[in-house]
Amino acid sequence: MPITTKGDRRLTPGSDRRPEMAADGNDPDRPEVPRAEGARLRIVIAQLSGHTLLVFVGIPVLVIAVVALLVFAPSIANGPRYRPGLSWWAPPVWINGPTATKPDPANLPELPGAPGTTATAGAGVARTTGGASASW
Amino acid sequence: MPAGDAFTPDQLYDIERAVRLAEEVSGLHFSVYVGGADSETRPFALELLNELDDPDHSVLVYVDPAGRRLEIVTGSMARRQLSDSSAGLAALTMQTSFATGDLTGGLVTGVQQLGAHAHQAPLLHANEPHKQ
Repeated sequence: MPITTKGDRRLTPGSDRRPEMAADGNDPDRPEVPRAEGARLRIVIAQLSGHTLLVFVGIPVLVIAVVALLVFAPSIANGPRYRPGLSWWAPPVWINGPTATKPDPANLPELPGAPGTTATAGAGVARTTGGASASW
Repeated sequence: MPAGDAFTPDQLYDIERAVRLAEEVSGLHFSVYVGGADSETRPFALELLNELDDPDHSVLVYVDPAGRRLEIVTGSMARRQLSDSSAGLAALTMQTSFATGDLTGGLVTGVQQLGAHAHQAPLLHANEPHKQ
């Protein structure tokens, strides 16, 4: 014969959840009160598995990274590009310059000699040379 | 702006090839200078032309990217083959490319155009009278 104490209820099959649900203070027969959106979102995130995150977050991020790399790869490979109106950063380049002396643009104004001589020579050349000018 | 060279090796190769082709077509010496000027661009370009081995038969293309100036200087003998109007057309071509930021394309196209304008059909007789 089962031993029962005062106030103790006899447990029957299927009735084991009743005390647990009653612990929340809610009547199990009444519908649950809608929870806040933040709490619901936290529950959804907690239920997401690592595989789901990998599919819905990892793959899009990977695709975006690949597209961005393809877009910026040429500019990264070619270095800084000339942009009109901005400062010029590169040292001077003389293509097919004089072969006798190595062109050193920093010393170019000093090479012809005295400034007076340079001005005279420049004026003399200016009478016989031609060409064109432009600006952008 | 970050430091670095003005042109990549491929771009330098393209410009040098255009210069060589222009020299072969015209028989003149072509030189390209890209950099800033310490003074006015035209006198500075003339000084650069005088630094070349044979200034009279040379054509110098001077580009100042910072000042956005372009100078084409032709020597006294080169001017006979390459008129100022032809140089002006090439300068206009280069100016259009430079305004869009394409230095290499402008130089290649401009130098090729200068070489084509300076091309002269060879004469079978009286081509070099001083050697006869």
